[in-house]
Amino acid sequence: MTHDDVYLKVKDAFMEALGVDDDEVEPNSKVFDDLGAESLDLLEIVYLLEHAFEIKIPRDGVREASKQDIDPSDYEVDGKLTDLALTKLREIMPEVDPSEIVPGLTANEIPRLFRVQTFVNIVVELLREKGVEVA
Amino acid sequence: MRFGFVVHPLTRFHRRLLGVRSLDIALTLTEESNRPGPRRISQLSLADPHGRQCTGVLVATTDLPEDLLGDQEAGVAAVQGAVGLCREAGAEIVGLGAVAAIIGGQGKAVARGAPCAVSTGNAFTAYAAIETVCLARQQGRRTHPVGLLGPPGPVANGILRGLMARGLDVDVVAATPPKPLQRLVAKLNTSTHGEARFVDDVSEVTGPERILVTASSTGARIKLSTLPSNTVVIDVAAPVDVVIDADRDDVLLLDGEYVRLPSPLRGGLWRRIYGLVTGQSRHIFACFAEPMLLALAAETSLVSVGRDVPLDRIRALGVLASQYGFYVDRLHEKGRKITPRRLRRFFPADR
Repeated sequence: MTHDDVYLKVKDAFMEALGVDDDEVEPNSKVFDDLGAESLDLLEIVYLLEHAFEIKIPRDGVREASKQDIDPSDYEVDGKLTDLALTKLREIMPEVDPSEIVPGLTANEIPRLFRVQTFVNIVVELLREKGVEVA
Repeated sequence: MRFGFVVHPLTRFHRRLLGVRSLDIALTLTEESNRPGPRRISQLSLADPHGRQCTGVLVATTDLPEDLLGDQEAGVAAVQGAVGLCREAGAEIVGLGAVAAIIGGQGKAVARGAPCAVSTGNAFTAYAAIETVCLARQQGRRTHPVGLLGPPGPVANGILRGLMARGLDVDVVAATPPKPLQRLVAKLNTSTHGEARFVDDVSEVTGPERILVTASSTGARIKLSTLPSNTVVIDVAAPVDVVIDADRDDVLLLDGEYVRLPSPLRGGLWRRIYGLVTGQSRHIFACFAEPMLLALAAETSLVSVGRDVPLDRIRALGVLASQYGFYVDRLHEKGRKITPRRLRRFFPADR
């Protein structure tokens, strides 16, 4: 399987779940602001991707990944992500412009950073964990 | 035509209650009552104004919300099992309640494998909310544009379409409206007599002349303590959008999706308990009432599945509702009929 194969299936999932047109979905499209998704739509997208790739996508996976190796007390202060957490988030979301991951961001706002590419990356990682080669 | 409705427990204790039809407390505490699999909870019946009877069945899965959301594939299978049990009981139209209506693409995956029509009730919920807004505005004074929090959620988008089709102006609360929502608002601004604009914050749509409608998909969007005095909110969301974090007698929180049934709903012990809990004998949530309406009308094409809640479906359900005696006839606060005194406080006579 190639990255392009993954991307096309992810794109199909977005088109089916959100009713958007083929030319509206780009790797860098913001899932909420550009494509008009809301939280329930993420559930459907996850469901469609799990079906399409026979994987299980963990709930809150990005948020949990951003907490890895960080002591809970160093993750948030007064509801805002710490510099340490922001650095981790930039690492695990290379598809997002680092200038968007700035002080003042809260954990609840992480989904607003999601791009279509975020889901491609998640699927690729889970496929590789399953032993599927993605070229 | 018979109808069915699928519910699920919200807590482990609910699950045990669902497992014991006699509601014997000793049995409720046993593991036996915790066994997996869908189960029938109650037989239901009602009649339309012409005396035509309609019967149905209430079925529960044993899955908690976190189970259904945590493994959607298993959740969809569990809900399909419950729908299958409804079908075995003769149901031809089955409503999905709470999280059962959310998973698998808001009913789409459940509908694909179901042996009968299924519906999330979203369009009838939108209808009830629109009627509730109109009823509240008829009380007087609050005639400024309706505030709406919730788009681009499906029910909220349906409410937006319905309000603007009636010529009402709407202020949509969305600090950064996504492009598809911008397109929808632009389209409605040119195709209806209503006018919509975006505002950044709830504080811009509360006040003595305003009504705020909240219909988010996730709930818990507003803290009651943050609302200014004399605010009127119609909360359509389930779970509710306004979080009760303070005692605020000076804010009116109206329920946004109650409809009056054409006759009392009969349903044995379960119905009596439901009536005691809600204090209602003829008023139920629209999503619950919808399969009853569709069964009375022998109509399975007006179901809601997926994220789209088109205006023509809302209107068609409204026509059916008036034919079969389903009405939004009064305002409710916390599940109870609002008192005239309280109504006057928030809607003082202005002429």
